[in-house]
Amino acid sequence: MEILELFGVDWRLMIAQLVNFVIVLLVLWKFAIKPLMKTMESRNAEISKGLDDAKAAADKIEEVEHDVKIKLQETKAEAIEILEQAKKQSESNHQDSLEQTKNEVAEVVKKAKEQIAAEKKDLVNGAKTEIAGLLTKALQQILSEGLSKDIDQKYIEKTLKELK
Amino acid sequence: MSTDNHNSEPTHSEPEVLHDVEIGENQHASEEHAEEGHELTLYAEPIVHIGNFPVTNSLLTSWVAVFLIILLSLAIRKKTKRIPSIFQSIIELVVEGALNMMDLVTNDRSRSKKLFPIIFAVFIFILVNNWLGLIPGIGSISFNGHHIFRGGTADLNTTLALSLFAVIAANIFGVMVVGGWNYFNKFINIKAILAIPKKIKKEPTIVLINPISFFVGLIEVISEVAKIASLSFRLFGNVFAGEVLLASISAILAFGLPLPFMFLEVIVGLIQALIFAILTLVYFTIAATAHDH
Repeated sequence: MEILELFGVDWRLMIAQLVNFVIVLLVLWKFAIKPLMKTMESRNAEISKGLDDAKAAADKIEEVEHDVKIKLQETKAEAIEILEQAKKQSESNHQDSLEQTKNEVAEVVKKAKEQIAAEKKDLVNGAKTEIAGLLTKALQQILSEGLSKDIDQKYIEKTLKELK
Repeated sequence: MSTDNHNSEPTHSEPEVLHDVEIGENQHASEEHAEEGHELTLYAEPIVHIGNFPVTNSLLTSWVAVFLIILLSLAIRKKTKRIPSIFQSIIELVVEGALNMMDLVTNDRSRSKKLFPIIFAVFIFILVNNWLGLIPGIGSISFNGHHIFRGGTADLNTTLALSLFAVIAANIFGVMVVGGWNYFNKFINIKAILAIPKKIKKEPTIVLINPISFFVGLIEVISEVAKIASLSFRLFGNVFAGEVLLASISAILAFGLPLPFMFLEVIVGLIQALIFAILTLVYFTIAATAHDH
């Protein structure tokens, strides 16, 4: 071990240096490396979380946009359908009311015609009887003065028959 | 070689055989010249004795290094915020780079993170010690005929203590990861011996192979000792050689000429700290791999 003596090796000095190193190790570990590592790790975690969140948000936005698009399309289609239905409805309503009116008008016309016809008949009947009466009277007057009773009677009856 | 005045101190317990490395002008010129930084001893010189304990100049420098590192740690703790300042960003850059470099060795982020404090402390401690020894003039402050400061790692005590710590800690880590019995069998391979009667019918070559594995295990024991020696002497040699180089260059011409060598030594200080730290990590990683065949 002469070589160790040559280099001045002394176990007390070695222990002193070892103590120095251990102090350095502990101080560096506790005061510097640990908090630094902790900070770095938490920051890394935060950054990766932030990136994830941003991605999630972007995905969400896309999804929502997609949803909105679909909803909009649906709404459009619905609106068109409703409009068409309304058109149809209004058309059919129109047709109905038109028909009804027509019918009503037709009925009114028919009634009016019937009335007119009835009145006409009455009028004609009335006129006939009146004319017949007048004729009988006139003929009686005429015939009572000139012609024989037989001929008269015959003639009157004949005329009346014809009239009828 | 001549024994100089340092060794003649009464309380100094270093044996007489200690040789000094003399650089620059010849020693006989005058005793005063020797104290002006042209001369370096292979060992760290004691400045004062506290009781029986010799406080060497290297130990003193190491204390300064510890103090500086504590200041740095406190600064980091104080400045660490969620949103980093420039200071914190730089520190984080260093930490991130160190972790990436460690991943190259461990291939495992979680293990890198687990070992990071130890490896980083080794690196910082050695780096600060290396660089403190380089500060111009630090070797020229004398007291009682001794240089007060000397690079902490320019003393074998420091590097030996660090490499002992590294190798022992690596072994403890190995035991923790692979388990005591498995780890023991890396060195004294009883498993290989026990496996012979079981498998001898299937593969007769095992009679030859497993005794070899057993002896390989014994060699591993020696390699652990070699690790301590190689770690400590590499660092000590590089740093001490750097100081000798700077001293001798300064002796030739103290103005301007040492500058490129100074840069060189700054880089060497960094690289040696890096090498020590990475080798420590390698030893940890090797210790943590199960060696079953």
